[in-house]
Amino acid sequence: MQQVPHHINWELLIDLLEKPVAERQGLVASLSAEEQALIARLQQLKDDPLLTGALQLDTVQAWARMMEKETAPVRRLVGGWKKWVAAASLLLLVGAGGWLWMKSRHTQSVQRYQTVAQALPNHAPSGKVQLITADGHAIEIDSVKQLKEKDGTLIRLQQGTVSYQGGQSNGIGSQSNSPLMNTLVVPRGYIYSLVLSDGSKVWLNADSKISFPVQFDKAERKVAIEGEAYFEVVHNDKWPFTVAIAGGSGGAVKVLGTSFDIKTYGKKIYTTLVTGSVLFTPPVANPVRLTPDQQTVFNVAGGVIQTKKVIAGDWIAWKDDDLVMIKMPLDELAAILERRYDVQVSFAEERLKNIQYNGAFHFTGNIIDILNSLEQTGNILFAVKNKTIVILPANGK
Amino acid sequence: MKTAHFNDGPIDLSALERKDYESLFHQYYQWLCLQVYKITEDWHASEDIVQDFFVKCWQNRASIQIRETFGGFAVVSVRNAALNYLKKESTRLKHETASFSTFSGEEMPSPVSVPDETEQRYLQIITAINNLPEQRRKAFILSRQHNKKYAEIAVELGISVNTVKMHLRLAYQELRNVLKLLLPFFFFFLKK
Repeated sequence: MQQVPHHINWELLIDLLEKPVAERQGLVASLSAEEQALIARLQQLKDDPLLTGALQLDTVQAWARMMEKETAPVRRLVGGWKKWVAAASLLLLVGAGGWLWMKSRHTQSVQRYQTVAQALPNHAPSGKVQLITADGHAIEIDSVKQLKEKDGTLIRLQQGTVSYQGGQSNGIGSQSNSPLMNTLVVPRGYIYSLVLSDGSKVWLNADSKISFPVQFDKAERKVAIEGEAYFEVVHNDKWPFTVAIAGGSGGAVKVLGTSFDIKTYGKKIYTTLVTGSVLFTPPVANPVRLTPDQQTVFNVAGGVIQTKKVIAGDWIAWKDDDLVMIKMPLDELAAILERRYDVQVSFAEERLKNIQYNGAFHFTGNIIDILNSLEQTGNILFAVKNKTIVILPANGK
Repeated sequence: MKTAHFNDGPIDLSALERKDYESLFHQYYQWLCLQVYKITEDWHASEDIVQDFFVKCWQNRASIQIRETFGGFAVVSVRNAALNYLKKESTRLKHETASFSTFSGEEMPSPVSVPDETEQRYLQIITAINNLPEQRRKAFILSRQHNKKYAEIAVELGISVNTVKMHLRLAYQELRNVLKLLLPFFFFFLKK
């Protein structure tokens, strides 16, 4: 490979390198292999945020600063403002990058990979939030502003919320034994909220469902959920509120005027109490009464219940599009991303699933933002293959 | 040309002149910051950690025995400092309600005294770039910044656009062999 470099067209090469990568595509193909390789390598250097970041550091100035430090007392490491400067520089440093860098280490297997930015530009969820009315019609929620159920209940659909008019003051509502049931279906990629006819509020996380009567029965309030929901129930001692979980097979939560979260994805059911008091009743074992900041974890298969202390706020952060991770394994995070952005995520290596993360993130409209932040940890990289986001080790072997 | 590698052999700090220590600093500073940044994800903190290391190392040079190379010794020291820093930061962050904070991977590789191949490559690239003549190095680094036009670089360095192009051309020519050495597989990928 140590050939004498022959006829490299430097003029052309230098002009090409000034152009953004997207504009180069067609032009690069006409270059010699050697010229292509050089361009690719230079781009690789440019796309590596670690390397570009390190090269920006001013060593001469650092030495001078250090000399001051040597004589001055040791100062605090990081002030508050530095965090924000760091966050800003992080955004600057994140290019399309990492990807090309990764390629050099995964030569054989990587050819079919694309960057997330290339493969999923403006990625949007494939489904739509639907409301299933009592007569079985599925209505796409942003297609109408309001509608009326058979019993006269007015349903408003706007700004991410479906709300049901209360029956008591208007003399409407079901008096019969078979109340009209509606179902709100929130697919992957959405978060939606609901105001029930009693004024109670429910937030539904992505990939979740709630069935509820259009007007509640006089004796009790009953709803059923799948997926994850956060409730703020209007308090009424004489009007019990019950949530059936996963068709009752996951137990039920009896509510005594309160706010709480129920998470039922997968094999475990988490009930987390924020305020008030709830009674978690598993199908088999004894009921558990929760106090605020307590959580029950019910293992459906094993029938085992555990109760523990948590920071409840972390468990309901999702409703404000926030993510709080405390020793969260990467496979759990991947499942959250799949639901939140309606994407498929897979792992190139099994061991990556156990990498744990601490941190907080505010979800943006674009999945690339969180993937870029995750890549900054230096442990992992993301690429796309067959429309699936693949998590690869950053230090490929 | 200075070369940086990990086969330097043991080094006796107590015998070093200040100017020798300074050149060690120049040789390893950016690379050590990069290692720390992988853990802290904060360039400012990384610089502070690495500088603190160099200060302490100099102050205690009489009592420090380095059995491996300086690079190996330094990288273990700063990684440990970075992990300590993270621990302190995470307890501090718990008391703040920031809507955005950087991630910190929990499962850090335990520090090893011989940096792996990738890290050595990083060091070689950084060293090669820092060995370029000053103007050329500046032009090269500015050209690495996001979508910077040659005209902008020319203004910043107070030279003509043609001179910028010439600097880049010479920089690329000089770095070509290093790049080949560092990224040997890329060529095959391009050819498919």
